[in-house]
Parts: sequence; structure tokens; C-alpha cells
Amino acid sequence: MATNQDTEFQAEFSGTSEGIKTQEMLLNMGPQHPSTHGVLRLIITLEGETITSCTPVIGYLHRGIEKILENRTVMAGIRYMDNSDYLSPMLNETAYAGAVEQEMGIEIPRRAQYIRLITNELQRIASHLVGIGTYGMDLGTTTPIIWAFRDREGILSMFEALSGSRFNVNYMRVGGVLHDLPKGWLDECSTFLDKLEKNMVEMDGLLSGNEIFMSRTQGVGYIDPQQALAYGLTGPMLRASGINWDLRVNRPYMAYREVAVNPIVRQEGDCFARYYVRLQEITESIRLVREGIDKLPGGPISVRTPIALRPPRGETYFAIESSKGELGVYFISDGSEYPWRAKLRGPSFVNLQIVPELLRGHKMSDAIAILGSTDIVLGEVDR
Amino acid sequence: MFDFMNNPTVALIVATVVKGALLIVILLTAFAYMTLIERRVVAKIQGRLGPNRAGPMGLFQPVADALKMMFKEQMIPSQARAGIYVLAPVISVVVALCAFAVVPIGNNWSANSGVHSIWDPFIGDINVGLLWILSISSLSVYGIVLGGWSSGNRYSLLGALRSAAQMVSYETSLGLALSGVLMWAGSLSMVTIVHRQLDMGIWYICAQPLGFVIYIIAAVAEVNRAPFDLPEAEQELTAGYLTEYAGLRWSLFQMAEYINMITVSAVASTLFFGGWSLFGLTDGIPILSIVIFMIKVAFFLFLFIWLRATLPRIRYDRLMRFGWQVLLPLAALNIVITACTVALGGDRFWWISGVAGLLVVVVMLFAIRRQGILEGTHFSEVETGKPVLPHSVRLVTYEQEPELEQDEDSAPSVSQPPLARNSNTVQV
Amino acid sequence: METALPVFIYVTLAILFGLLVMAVTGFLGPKKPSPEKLAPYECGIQEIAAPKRRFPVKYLLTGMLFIAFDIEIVSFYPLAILLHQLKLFGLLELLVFMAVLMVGYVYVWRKGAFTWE
Repeated sequence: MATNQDTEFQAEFSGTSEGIKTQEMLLNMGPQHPSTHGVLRLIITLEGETITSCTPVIGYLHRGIEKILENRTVMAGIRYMDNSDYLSPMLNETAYAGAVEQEMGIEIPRRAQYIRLITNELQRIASHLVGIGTYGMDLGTTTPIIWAFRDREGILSMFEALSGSRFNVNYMRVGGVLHDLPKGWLDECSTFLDKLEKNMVEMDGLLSGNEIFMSRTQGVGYIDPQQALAYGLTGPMLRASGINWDLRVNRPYMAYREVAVNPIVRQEGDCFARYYVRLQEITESIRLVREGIDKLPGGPISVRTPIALRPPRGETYFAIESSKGELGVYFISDGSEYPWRAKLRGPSFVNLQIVPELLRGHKMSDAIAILGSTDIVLGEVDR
Repeated sequence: MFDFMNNPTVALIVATVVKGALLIVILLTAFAYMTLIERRVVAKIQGRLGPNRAGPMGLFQPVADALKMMFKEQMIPSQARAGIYVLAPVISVVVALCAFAVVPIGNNWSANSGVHSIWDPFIGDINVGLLWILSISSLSVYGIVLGGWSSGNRYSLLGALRSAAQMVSYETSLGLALSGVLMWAGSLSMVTIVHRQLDMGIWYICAQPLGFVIYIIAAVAEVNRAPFDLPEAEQELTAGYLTEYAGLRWSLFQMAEYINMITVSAVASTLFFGGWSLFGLTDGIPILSIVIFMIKVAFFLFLFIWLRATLPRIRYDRLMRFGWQVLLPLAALNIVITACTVALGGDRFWWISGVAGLLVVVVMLFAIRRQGILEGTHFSEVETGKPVLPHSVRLVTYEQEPELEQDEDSAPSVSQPPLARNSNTVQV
Repeated sequence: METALPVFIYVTLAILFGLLVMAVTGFLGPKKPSPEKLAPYECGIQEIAAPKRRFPVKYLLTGMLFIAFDIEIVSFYPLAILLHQLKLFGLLELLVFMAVLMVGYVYVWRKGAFTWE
């Protein structure tokens, strides 16, 4: 498959580069490249240092998650959602479990809802930390990513205490969650949040106020609101362009119906705004986790569901606000134990679409800044 | 036994060979431990441990690295121009080593500027010392450009091009910034410059703050270190001109970079911080002067590491603009200020150029900041939580009510039976 | 000559060191070349088109500017060194020199040689 594609590009590009503009230079970024955030491949045509065209090539991380879901029972499928956006497994699982619950008409217990809220927000923090850290890395500073991973480590440890696994948590269940919170977990969580809050102030000082960082991100990669909507952007990418659209607010689900979220919106629409939205969302998420801990009700953590979970015949679409944007699951059931189809609407995939448009006319070093600011996860793009 | 030492020329040659070999060994050791120190310091800043396995505190890490590098497979890429490809790292490192030849590492052993010995701690006190450093450091661009060009890889080529343009651009500012020092010292010889500072009783940083600031910025750019490390910008160009190099050849390039760093640090401490002198502390004990010099150099090296751990990489066009449009005019201004002070005032009025230079530095700091604000770096606080949709878009907000399509046979019970805590979801 | 000789000796030593390392790289380490290994790094993809070994003309301009300014710096150094003795005459000469330099600088700036867009 790859070779076929290559010869195609070879033909296409040798034509243009031999033609009128002799200075054009073809640069292949990826799939094995330090800054494409995984195995994305960008074929970039350069004139001097300016990008004249860009073609993203995806599919290097395709594992057929949607097809796997069709061949697993609903409960077994949840685990495979972890691998979709591998930086936010909790959110993926919530989306899938939520879709099945919506299809089956289950209203999960309030305690489960709040546990989902707490874990989801922690996961959002972890994902944004990686986003910010790698963004710093893209711009040539190594310290933020180490700091970010130090903080993320705390979240992963908490997930380990919760589910037994740091990364592929497999924690959500249709109808609730797997385990109740362990003893002392909430205290640990509160301590961690206090520490994280301090660390985020530090991170803010290290990156946001930095002249070089500002000069590299502000006014770069501007997306105007119309364009953002036209490309179907969601999440921080959309909110950084001044559009106040957050599924937690606009289409609240689970505990978000009771907990008020202040969506972070910025008007600038540039890379800095996208970075800053993520940074502020971490603060907002910290607040949400605290509120969730305060309001955490008692009671069961799950509804009783049959062993052989058979969602009724029909179809449904359920979307949550993932760390990257709207993560939707389009769930079609034919009444059997296996989903007939489970289509994921991955925010990374949709957000990636705007990259070629954004890159055109920018400098090569801006390309990295722009690509980093989209915060895509190739696991979710290729699925 | 040592009769041949009676012949002054032979003695000079023997002494120089010994001193030169010693200096090369010292520089290589400094390079090796600089890599270790850099990794340890950056690790400390980032809250990590850094390499600490090989030997106590990781002291044998450089040895391990060197051994590994030596026994790596050396290959010549199929598209490379073999000769130049092999030669380029050697050019780099030879040039880097050569630049250090004129730097006085310490005071004369007699502690008397008039009495020279062939064993004095510098290789050669040539009367064009500074010019030698400048010209040799201009040559260092050759190693990088030839290496990048001959690799036959477009990342390498792009990295080499950037590197050439960058080093060349900052070379001019660097040269102009140093001429302020020359006006005060009246000599190009590094040894004389140190002695002139002793005579005047000040370090030239006091008389040349602006020159120093320009020099240190240009020097960071000149040795391709963060935030000016564009030639090897990992994120854009994988590893720039280093992409196709591996093993010992790669470490030769690294060696050149670190030795250049040591050289510019040494030049900075010699020209602006009195070299090996420290308030007359070295008068009696010449060996102390070497220690003092090393401490001063170490301070600048730490500065390089610190910068690397803190700052993101500056963008290429801004880098070039900064070099040509900010540093160069500032260096010219520095020359005019210094020339007026030197020609009209003389040594006693060094503080005039000092205060004026400092003033320019402060003004420039504000100006750059302000220009940034004018260009749009100012970040206004926006009220959050307000819907700001364009008029053409209407979003429907609704309370989500899951519509239930219940089939008789498979719909589970929606009512919630009381469950014990910690129960699993699936009944067993 | 007496002062320059050590420097020449040192340079020779440095060159010898370089050649030594070059020779060492020749026989240390394994030698198992294969076409894949010798292929230029292209991010894990077979190469699209061979790189051109031509420099964009922009870099030539920078090179020319560098030569112009660097030569001016070199010719400026003797004046800077003798400024102590030349006093006012030297200062005037220096100012004239700087003025000429700045005229050229402004010309180049206005011509857009410093814009890297």
C-alpha cells in the first residue's frame, strides 16, 4: 500500500519540482519524525523556507478499532477504546459506554456519574499536559515536557490505584464504573490537585510569559471562526477561535448537568490562543474535579446489567467533550451482543483537516508550531 | 639530558608541543565533562536525576559515551560525496581547537607582565590574537556547511544553509561589539588586553556593558546554542547537518560545538571580565589565576546550559532580522559611544561609556518589549463564557433527553435495584 | 615569527589530532553496509526525489553582505586600536567611516535585504 502511494507522489512531485520553480524543495516530514506527534507524514513543498503546499498522509497507525469493536461484545469493546486516543482513555471509554447506555436507555447512578466526571476531568488534565508539554518541545524547549510528564505521572498513579492499570485503564462499564474509589483516593486526589495548581502557575510563567514563545505563537496559524466551523473543528481549537461551544455546557451529559462548566474561550484564533485555552482548561478542570469531589454522592456505582448485554435494535449518537474536542460514538445495534457498527467521530481526525490549509504560506518553523498547536493524536486519527 | 633545551628555538618548540598537547587534552576532557555537567544540570532544572549510573555521580558517563561512539559503525551514505563527508567533521573540530591558541589561561608564572617564560600558560601571544579568534571562528562554518552539503540529505542541506546564514550574520555584530574593547585596550593581543584591564583597574564589562550584551548574544548564535540552535533544530530538520552522521564523526561535530562554547566563554571572560585576574588575588600565586579563569569560564558555560533549559527556539526569520536590524546598529552605536569617550576623555572617563551603554541596554529592553506589544504580542484578557457565535450560525441548545426505543425482548430494566457498594456491574 | 611559531605548532598538533581521529574512524567499529542502511534518512520513507545541491539565491545575498561588513570591520580594527593616540582626528575619521558604513547599511535595509519573509 505504502509503495503504491509513494510512486504516485513521486510522479506528481517530480513534475512540479522540475518545472518552473527550480528553487522548490520537497521535504518529507514523517512518518518517523520527531515532531509529527506520532506517525503522521507530511509532504511539504518548500520555496526557500516558505511552504507552498502540504499533503498529510495518514494511516500509519491504523489498527481497525472500529472493526474490532464490531467483533467484540459491548463490554469487551470498551477496552479497545483505550487505544483510540491513547492520551485520554477514560474519555474514550466514557463516550463508548455512554453511547451504549443511551441506546439501552440506562440512567447510571449519580455516584457513577460523579466518578466519571472526576476521572474524565483528570484525564483531560493529563491529555492537556501532554499537549502543552509536547508543544513546548516542538518550539525547542525541553523543560515543559518533563514538568508536564512529572504532573501527569501523578494522574496515572491515581488511575492505577483506581483501575489497576496506568494507561489502558478499562475502567468504565456500561451502566457505571468498574470499582468504587479506593480508600484515601479522594484525599490523595486533593493533595495532588493542590500541587498541580502550583505547578501550573510555574508552567504558565515558563511558557506563556516567554518573549520567544509569544513571538513564535501569537498571530501564527490564525483560524477565523467561520473557517473553524466550516472545517468542523471542535474542542480547544474551536474555542480558541472565539466560538463558545463546549458539549459539557451546550449538550450536557451525565454529571455535567449538575456541575456548571465555565468554557474557556479566546478570540485570537492563533497558536497561542489554542495553547492558552488548554492551559486554562487545566485550571478549570482542577476546579471541576474539586467540585466533583465535594458533591460526590453515596450509593451504588453501577446499575445491574445482564451478563449478555444486548443493546436494543436501533441506532444512536452520543458525544462527549473529549480533551481534543467532540468525541462521538455512532452506535448501531442489531439487537445482538455485538454492535453492528460503532463509528467513532475522533476530534483529532477532524481537526487535522485544517492543517494543510493553515500551513500554506507559513515558514517551515511555523509549520511545527501550527501542527503542535492542533494537538492531534495519531491513534485517534488513524484509529 | 635536557641539553637541547639550551637552544631557545628548540626549547620553544618542545614547550609548545607539550603545552599544545596538554591544551588539546584539557579541551577534550572539558568537552567530555561538559556534556555530563550539561545533562546533570538540565536534569536538575527539570526535576530529573540525569545520568548517575556509570561511576560515582555518573562520572564515568563520558568515558562510556566515548567508547560507545568509537565502536559504532561508520558508513558513508550512498548519496554523499565521500571525501568531503569524511573531512567535514575533522575541519570542524580542528578549527574549534585552533581558536583557543591565543587565549591566556592564566598569569605569567613570574606574575610579572614583563618577564616571559616559554612555559607561560598560553600557546602563543600573537599581536593579532583577537583577529585570529575571529577569523578562525569564521572558518568553523565550513565544517558545518560542507558536512550538510555533502551528506546528500535535504535536512542536512537545509540545516547547513541556515547555519551558514546565521553564523555569518552574527559574525558581523560580534566583530563590531568587540571593537569597543579594542579601543580601550589599544591592542589585539589577548594577553595585553588582560594587562590593560589590570592597569585601568576595571573590568571592561564596566566600560562596555552594551558591547558585552551584544557579544554574548552573538556568541550564543555563533556557536549554535539554544535559543539560536536552528541548524540542528530537531523538530523541523530532524537533526540538521548532523542527520547523516553517526558515531565518532558525529561526536566530532559535538566536540567542535562544545569547544567553540568553551572558546567564546573564555573570550568573554578575557575581554570583559579581566581574564585570569581577580582583584589582585593572583599577584603572589600564579597558579590561582588558572583556577579563577576556569571559574569565570564555567560561569559562562553554566549560562549556556541555563539558556538551553529555559528558552524555546527563536524563529528563523526573526533570528536573521534580530542579527542584522537590531544587533548590528546597536554595535555601531556602541562603537560611537566608546570612540567618543576614548578619544575625548581617556581612561579616567570609562564610566561615561559604561553609563551610556547601560542606558542603551535598558532602553532597548523596553523598546523590544514595546515593539512586541505593538506587533501584537500583547495578550488581552477576554471575558470567558460569553457566546460569541457569528450571526450566520445558530446553535440549538437543549437538555439531553435520551429517547428510548424499547424493544420488548431485550430492553433491560431501567429501574435501579439497590446494589451493594463495590459490586461488579455484571452479575456472576 | 617568534610569537607566531607556537601558534603554528599548535595548529599542526590540532590537525594531527583531527587526522588521527579520522584514521581511527576508518578501522574501529563494524563494517556491514547494506543499501537500506546507506540510503539517506527520509523519515522512514523511501526517497521522493534527490535533493538539489543548489543554494537559494537569498543565501548568496547574506554571504555578500557578510563579506562587505566583515571587511569593513577588519579595516576598522586598526583605527580602533590606535584611537588612544589619534584622539580627535581619529574620532572624526571614525565617525566618517561609520557614516559611510551606515549609508550602505541603510541602503541595503531599504532594498529589503534584511527581510526574510
